[in-house]
Amino acid sequence: MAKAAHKIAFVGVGWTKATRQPVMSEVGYVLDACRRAADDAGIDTADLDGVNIQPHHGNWDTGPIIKGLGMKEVRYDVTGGSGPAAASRAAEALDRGVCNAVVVCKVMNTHSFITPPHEHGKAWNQFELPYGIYTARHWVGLMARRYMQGHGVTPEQIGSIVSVQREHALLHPYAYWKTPLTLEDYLDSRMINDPVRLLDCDIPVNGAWAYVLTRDDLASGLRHRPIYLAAWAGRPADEEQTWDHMIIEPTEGPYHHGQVLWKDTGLAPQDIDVSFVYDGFSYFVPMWMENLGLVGRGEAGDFVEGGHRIRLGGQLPTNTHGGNLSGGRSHGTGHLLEAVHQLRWEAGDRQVVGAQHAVVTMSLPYFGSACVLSRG
Amino acid sequence: MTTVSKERGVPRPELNELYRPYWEYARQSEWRLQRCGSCGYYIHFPKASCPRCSATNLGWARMSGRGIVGSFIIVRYFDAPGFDRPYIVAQVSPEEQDTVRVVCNILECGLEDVYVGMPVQVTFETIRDGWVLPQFRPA
Repeated sequence: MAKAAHKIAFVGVGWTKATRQPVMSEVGYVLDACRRAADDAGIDTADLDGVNIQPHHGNWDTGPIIKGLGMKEVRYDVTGGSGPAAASRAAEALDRGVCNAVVVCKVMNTHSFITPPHEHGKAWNQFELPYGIYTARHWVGLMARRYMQGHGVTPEQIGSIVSVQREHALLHPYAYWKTPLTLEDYLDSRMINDPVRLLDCDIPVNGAWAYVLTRDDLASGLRHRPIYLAAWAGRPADEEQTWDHMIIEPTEGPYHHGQVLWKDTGLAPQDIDVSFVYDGFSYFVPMWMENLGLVGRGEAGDFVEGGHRIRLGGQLPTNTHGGNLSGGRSHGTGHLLEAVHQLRWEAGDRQVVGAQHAVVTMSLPYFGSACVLSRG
Repeated sequence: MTTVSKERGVPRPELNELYRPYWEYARQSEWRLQRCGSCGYYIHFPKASCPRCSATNLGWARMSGRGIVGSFIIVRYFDAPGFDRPYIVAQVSPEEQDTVRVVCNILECGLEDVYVGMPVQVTFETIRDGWVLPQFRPA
C-alpha cells in the first residue's frame, strides 16, 4: 500500500443514546450525533466540508444533513461503508486535499434490515432458501459450529465474551443494555438455531455515531489531542463473498488484515492495548482475534476462557463500550468512537491505563475492514 | 428416489444459464456440480469462471453422491415459511472435494443423530411444481 502523505486524525466524536424505540427521525439522530462530534472537536458545523452518512445498508440522502449542519462548502459527499472502511475512504480524500474536515456518521434503526424470505429468489440464495435458511443468524450458525468444533471452542468460552462485554456496557453512558448478564444467564438463554443463542446476536438499536476527521496540519489547537488513523486494511479481493463459503484455513499467523496492519504500522500485535474487534455475533470476537494475530491460531478459546483477559484490567480489554452485543448494533462505528476515548485517556472508569494503540475491525473476519488507531 | 414434502413458501429460483443445469440435473435425480475443464476444480455455487484458475471452460460433473456433514444448525425459532421446526440445515462437502459446501437438509435423521463428520448420501426431494432439491440422508 502506498504511504499517505499526511496523518489523518480523529478530532471529535459524538454518540446518541441507543434505544429500542426511536425517539426521533433518522435525520434527527444524524444531526444530533454530527453536532456532538463537531462540538467535541471545537469546530463549527458550518466549517465541515465533507460528509459520509451510512445507513444500515445502501445509500442515503445527505441533503438534509448538509442543510441541517449549515455546511458552507461541500467538497466530499458520499454514503456507504462502515467502520474502518468509511474512515479510510474519508482519510484518502483528506490526504489528497479534496477536503479539510469530514464528518462521518453511521445511523441505525430497528426496522430496516429484516429482509423477508420471499425477496431472496435471486442468485446464490436460491441454493439455500429452499432448505430453510435465509438470514445472518443461520449463516453464522453454520460458521460457528465449524469454527468451534475445529478449534475446540466451548459455549462457556463464547459466553464469557458476552458477559464481559455486558459488564462494560453497564459502565458506558450511551450503551443499550443496562442489566447484568452472567455466564449462566447466557447458557440459559434461548437457543434460536443450535448452536446460536439469542445472546450470541447483537442488539439492534436506534442511534447514530459520528466522528470528525481532519489532516494532521489542521488537527492541532482543537478541543482534544488528535488520535491518528495509523493504518487500515480492507477486504482481500480473491475470496468468495458469502458467509458460509469462507474457507477457514488453518494458516499460521495473521490473515490478510493482520498482515497489512502490522506491516504498515511497524507494530506487533502485543502493542495493541485495547481491542475493538467486530462483534455482530459473539463468535466473530475470537475469530478476529486469531485472524489479526492478537492471539495464536486456535488459541482464542483459551484466551477468552473465564473472561478475565478481555475484561477491563485484563491483558487485552475488548469492546469497552459493550460492543454491538451489549452497546447496540453500530456496525463498528461505536467501536471507533470508544477507541478514541480510550486513546485520549478520557474513558473514566472504563479507562485502559496508558493506552497507546487500539485495533478496530468491522464485519466478517475474512472480508471485513480493520484499522489501527494510535495516540501518536 | 424422491420424497414429496410439504409446500414451502419460497420463491422459484432465478434460472439462468449458470444455475439452470444444477436444477435440471436434479429433476433427473442426478447430483452434478460445475467442474473446471482446465484444472478440475469442483465449483459451487455455479460461477462464470473458475475461482481457482480463472478458466471459463466449465462443465458439469456427475458426483458420487457421497459426502460428509461439515456443519449444521438446528433451527428452533423463527423458522422459514413452510417449515416445521425444529429442523436441520447442514453443509455437506462431497467426497471429491472438501472445499465445496452444499446447503441441504438431512432427511431420515433424528435431530440428535446428526454430527459433524457424519457420512451422507445424496437423495432428491420434490417440493412443488416439479422443483426437485438435492438433499442428503445418513449413508
